[in-house]
Amino acid sequence: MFGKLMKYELRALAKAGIPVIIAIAAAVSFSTVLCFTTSGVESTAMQFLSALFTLLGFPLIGAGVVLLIVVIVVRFRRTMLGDEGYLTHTLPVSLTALLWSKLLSALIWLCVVAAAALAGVVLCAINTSMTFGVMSAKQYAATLRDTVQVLADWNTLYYTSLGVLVLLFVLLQFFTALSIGHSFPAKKMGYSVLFYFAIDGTLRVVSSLGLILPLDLWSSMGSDIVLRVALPLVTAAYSGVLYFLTWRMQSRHLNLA
Amino acid sequence: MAEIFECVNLSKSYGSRQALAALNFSIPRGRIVGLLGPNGSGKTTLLKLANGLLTPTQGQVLIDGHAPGIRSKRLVSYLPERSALPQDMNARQLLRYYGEFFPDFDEQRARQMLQNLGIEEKLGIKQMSKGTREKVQLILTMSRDASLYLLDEPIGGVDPATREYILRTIIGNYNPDAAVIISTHLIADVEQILDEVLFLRQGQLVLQADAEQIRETKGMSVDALFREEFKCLGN
Repeated sequence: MFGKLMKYELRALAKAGIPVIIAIAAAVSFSTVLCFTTSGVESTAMQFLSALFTLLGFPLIGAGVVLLIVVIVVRFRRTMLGDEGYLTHTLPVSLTALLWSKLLSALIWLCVVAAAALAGVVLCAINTSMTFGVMSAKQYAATLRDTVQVLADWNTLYYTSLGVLVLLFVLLQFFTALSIGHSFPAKKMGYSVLFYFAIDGTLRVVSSLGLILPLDLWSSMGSDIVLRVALPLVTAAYSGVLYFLTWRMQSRHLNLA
Repeated sequence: MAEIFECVNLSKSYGSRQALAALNFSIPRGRIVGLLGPNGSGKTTLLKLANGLLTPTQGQVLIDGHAPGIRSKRLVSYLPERSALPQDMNARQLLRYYGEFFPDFDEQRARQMLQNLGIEEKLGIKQMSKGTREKVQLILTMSRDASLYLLDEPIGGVDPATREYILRTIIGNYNPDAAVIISTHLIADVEQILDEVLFLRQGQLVLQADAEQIRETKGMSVDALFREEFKCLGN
């Protein structure tokens, strides 16, 4: 049953994920074509235009990832806490399977879109440097190869894993706030927003205290250990707490309209 | 006869308001039962508890001996009061969806019913009228070979022709090994198909009786008895 849930979730999110990837590919392709056509051209106006469109690619790529997160959160609310919840929660599957299918499918699509966005940002950055004359069109392929070589190491793998963990945490923060907010009989969205910021504030305070109080301990361990061990552990612990809260609210305090 | 549905000391409160108060009753297989009561009497709450959509404050509800969970959800076919159909699907995709998740779903039967009503399978849920959506939802619910059908206000807010179709569908798909619980306050329309009735008032069970017996002993229809019973409450 979990596989079936995953199939339907992945398919539903593809309706948002595929257009975002197409938009990123189109933005990068447009930027690259513009950079190549204006490379070596003396016209300032053309170079300005090329630089403008290349720079516009960055926010566009960021907007794509944000849009996908919005789609994921809205879908979670609709299918788990809205009217569609009457069907979702009466399927012969466990709540754990429902929640993990939502989380995993969302993570898969976010990773795919984030990878496309990262590639887009790298290409846009190379295009920008070409537009401003830092490198020539002939050096394009070599620069791209060098960039890939720099990125292909264990650090990238580590930061990618950390990124996935952070994305899981971000999703769970939304899911938890919605699950708590929707357990109220009225003003469900208002309470959801309130609890989002309440959770955010609480975690910030706890994190700050965790950093400040045992300062000597962190200093003795060194920043590298803190970054590589403590950060993933803390993110995983927060995610675990948020997952438990989401599960608990949906299993004990589900309150469909 | 084996009991398919059982409430044991079942209570549910929303804060300080008690929606259901210590309900104790059971329903055997092979019966069509009317869960009757005015608005706010606890009908929807009871059906939500049976589906695991709410947690009891006290007591328990059992489906074929099982508390609400994966096993009970395999046995229950539930028609909620609201349209719960996924908005991003069309009727054909919904048939496949139900077929994949509910092994007892008869896709052929559902397809035939859609055809009888002239509902195109390609039609998206978003494009359907409210009445069509309700019909599709009922078709999906009644196309399962479930042991217990829980229908929450299946005829509320639909035109008389649709109402008749819904009742025909319930009767047409009736399985003698299963039980059907229909929650409604439109008694006159459903009375003809009911074997048994349960009257709920402010979360309490005030009557559980055979429909035919009511007509014989009281000399009045279930609808008339309901009006009399709940008229007193208003005065």
